[in-house]
Amino acid sequence: MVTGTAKGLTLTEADRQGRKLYVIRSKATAISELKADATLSDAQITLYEAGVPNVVIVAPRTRVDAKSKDVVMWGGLSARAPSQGASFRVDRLTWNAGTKLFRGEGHVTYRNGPATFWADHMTGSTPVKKVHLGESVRFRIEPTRK
Amino acid sequence: MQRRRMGMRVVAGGLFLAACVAMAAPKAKRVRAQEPVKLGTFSGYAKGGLDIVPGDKLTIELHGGVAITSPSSNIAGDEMVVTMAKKGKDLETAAATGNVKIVTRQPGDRVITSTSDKGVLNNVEHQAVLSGNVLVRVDDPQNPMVITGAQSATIDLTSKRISVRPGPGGQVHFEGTVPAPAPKKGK
Repeated sequence: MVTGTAKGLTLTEADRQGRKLYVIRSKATAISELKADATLSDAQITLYEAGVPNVVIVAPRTRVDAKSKDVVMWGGLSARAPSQGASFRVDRLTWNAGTKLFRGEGHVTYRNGPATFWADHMTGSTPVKKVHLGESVRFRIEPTRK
Repeated sequence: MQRRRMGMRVVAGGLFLAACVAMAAPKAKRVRAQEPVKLGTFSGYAKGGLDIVPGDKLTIELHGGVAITSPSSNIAGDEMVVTMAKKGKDLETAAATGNVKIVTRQPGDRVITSTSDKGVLNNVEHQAVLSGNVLVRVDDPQNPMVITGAQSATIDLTSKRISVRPGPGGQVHFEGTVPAPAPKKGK
């Protein structure tokens, strides 16, 4: 059984073909083999699609559950999906490495090009093809500066 | 100022006959698309949430009672699909369905309020296209009018032109004030 802390840890999980599912880099990590989880501080999480980086998330606190494959991030996090031209902020985000589904809750601010959206929660899957924001959503679309 | 007060019913024959109601002052220059309307910043809400579909054209599907507002136009409805040009570009179209209401404000305290089953605000062609149970009310200090019974109507956002297509019965009902024709020169 392994229990302890580490600094500068990198966690990587890959699929059966050896392609990366995600890479998590953190400044400080507490690992518990008994709970089969790891709790990380100031982590950068990169989610991959077919081995290619798809979403990059920076989260103050992160817990990785090896059994459920849940990656739970909280403490106010920011993310960007460069290929989509999108970025977002949310209080708490859960992504499952098995189902690829994510759900964010609390003070969602989602930006895509000139559009900014504010919502209570967001759901979707990776790679990001559609993002649902709910329930009562406000938004603003700024004109392009010529 | 020469004006005629009119309360009239326009009966247009033929399903494909478009009754064009040009409400500009006779001498007014028609502004075309070379001078696009500055719609400014859009803001809005979707009570039932929305879906964002990234792609070549960003698509936003709004649900459950929605509205978007700009300084010059409002569009509201039960559902709406907004498309935007490739990332970083402007809003292109806003297509609403169900209890659609479009309000456009034009120079000279002129406000056009329309209700319909479907409505598309087109920011590229600078027009609003309405269809199904169309009602158009023009609040204009000089030429107020109401148009009902049309199958569809197109409101040009750059000029004061409203084009109306009659309903299945071939009728469009029109009440209002239109400017008198300008007297010909030399007479």
